[in-house]
Amino acid sequence: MTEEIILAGFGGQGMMLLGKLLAQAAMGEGKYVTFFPSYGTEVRGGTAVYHLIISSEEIFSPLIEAADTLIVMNEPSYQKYKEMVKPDGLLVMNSSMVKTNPLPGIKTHKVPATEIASKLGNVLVSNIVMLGAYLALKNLFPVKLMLDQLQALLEGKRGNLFAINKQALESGVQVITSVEK
Amino acid sequence: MEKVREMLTGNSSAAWGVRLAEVDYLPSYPITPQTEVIETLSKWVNEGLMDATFVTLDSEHSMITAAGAASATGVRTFTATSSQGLLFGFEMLYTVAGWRVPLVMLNVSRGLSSPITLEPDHNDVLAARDSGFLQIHCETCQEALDSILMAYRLAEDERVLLPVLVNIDGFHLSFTREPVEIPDVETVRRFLPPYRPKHAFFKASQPMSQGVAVLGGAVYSYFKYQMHLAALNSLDVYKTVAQEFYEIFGRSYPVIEGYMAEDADYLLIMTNSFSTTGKAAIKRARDKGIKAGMLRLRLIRPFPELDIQNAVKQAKAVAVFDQNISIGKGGILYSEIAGALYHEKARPLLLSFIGGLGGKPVSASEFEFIIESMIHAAETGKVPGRQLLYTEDEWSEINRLKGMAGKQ
Repeated sequence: MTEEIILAGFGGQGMMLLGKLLAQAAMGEGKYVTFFPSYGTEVRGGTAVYHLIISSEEIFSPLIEAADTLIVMNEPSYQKYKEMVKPDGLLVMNSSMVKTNPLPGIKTHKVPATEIASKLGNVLVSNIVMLGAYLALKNLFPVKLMLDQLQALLEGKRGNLFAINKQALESGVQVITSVEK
Repeated sequence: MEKVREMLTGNSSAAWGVRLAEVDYLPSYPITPQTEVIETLSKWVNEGLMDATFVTLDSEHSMITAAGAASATGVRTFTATSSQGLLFGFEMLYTVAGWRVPLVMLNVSRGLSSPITLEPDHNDVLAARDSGFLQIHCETCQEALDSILMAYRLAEDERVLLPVLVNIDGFHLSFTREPVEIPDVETVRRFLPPYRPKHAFFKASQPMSQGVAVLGGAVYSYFKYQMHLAALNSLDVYKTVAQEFYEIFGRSYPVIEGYMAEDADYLLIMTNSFSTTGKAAIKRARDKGIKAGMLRLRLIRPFPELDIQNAVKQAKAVAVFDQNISIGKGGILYSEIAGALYHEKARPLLLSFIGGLGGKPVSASEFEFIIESMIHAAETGKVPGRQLLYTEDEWSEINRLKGMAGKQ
């Protein structure tokens, strides 16, 4: 099993955290994992992109040439990285901010993450909505494990943020499962 | 031994090495992509997790001076820099090495200006290859931590007493997260006991002069050659240290890491983290039935000539991948390896490729091209000229940019 994921969005949309949560889970489960950030010289408003590889075998390079999954948070990221997903790959897009019609042939899931997060009361959890959707699509890790990690991460002063993160994660799962039904 | 694993960047993994080495003094100066190292260390010092003195100097020149001077008083010292910073402190590299002090310094490789960039190649660290600093080049985050520990053992050995430079690639290793095993401090102490200098220390009852002037070349030559002999000695010392490291921690770091190299007809030689992409290409070639392999050079100084001669003996062709360019000459490692093989009776064909300058990614197709070139050379007996690796897409992008600049 090898899953190569490219995560991209504006700096600040939480792709780093999303990747770290998945990487942490993978490490905890005894899988091989690498997490490589790559960014331009933009300080603000630039595209931040992360290469995450999870595998049951040893990983050679942290760089991805063709991704199994592309998770994009905004239009510029989509335009910049759409060619990097494999022809039989998976595209998960934040449809609140990516308006272009997806590539023909690529399995695409539209998740209105910004909208859902705003409705929940904090736009910052849009990345966690995407995480929920991804978990539901690929089933690599149980939702419970992610919730435990989030709880551990938010322990202490930020403990009150756990509830909204939980809602966000569940909403993301819901987006996928409701379509499947 | 209690095993702790964390997802760490190359930078924070190196910082862990420094923490576990129980370093006393940390003269520092920030520079991308190294800054995370000193940020991490300063945080630990501030929180009382490290019993060390952290000082920010006014430049890398002052920083390396302070580091070398502190080492000469007998305290364990660490410093870190990158690229322009290494060059700004360059004068002091030779000076500190001549003091014969066991300083360990991390360089986080980054291409040199100009044009200015932030991403890695090895012109910075290789510029320091003649200075007297020994050089260990790393491939993975775990190796960054482990190499810091090994570097102190090597530097502090009575047969060596030379500073050591540990190198990691900027961005590709410095900011990549991988699971890293963090050993406990008790186990590390077994491997790396506290430093007790016999030759250079600060003690009021035993005053000494260090770094004195020598006019007339005879004494100067003697000292310089002593450094050279110590560096040559360090190769055997390194092997002992690596063996002991393996026995305690279970991780093996030979002078040259061979990957599918033993029966290989075609050998690719690389250093640092881009070798991971190279290994993937070697694996794919093997799957196609091509007997390809890789040698990753970990020690650059001392230069392991004999190990290289032995490792390439059975190969038909060898390609040296240089992530550097000596302007007016070509790849630095190619020249050094060619020099090491000159007197060998059965030497393989030797090809030179330059790639990954300024962090340019090296694609699977570029590695395939290298392997095909080796096969072709072995079949025809003709060695192609030195080549800069470039893909068609990259070239069309250059032409687009030239068009924008009106230089088509």
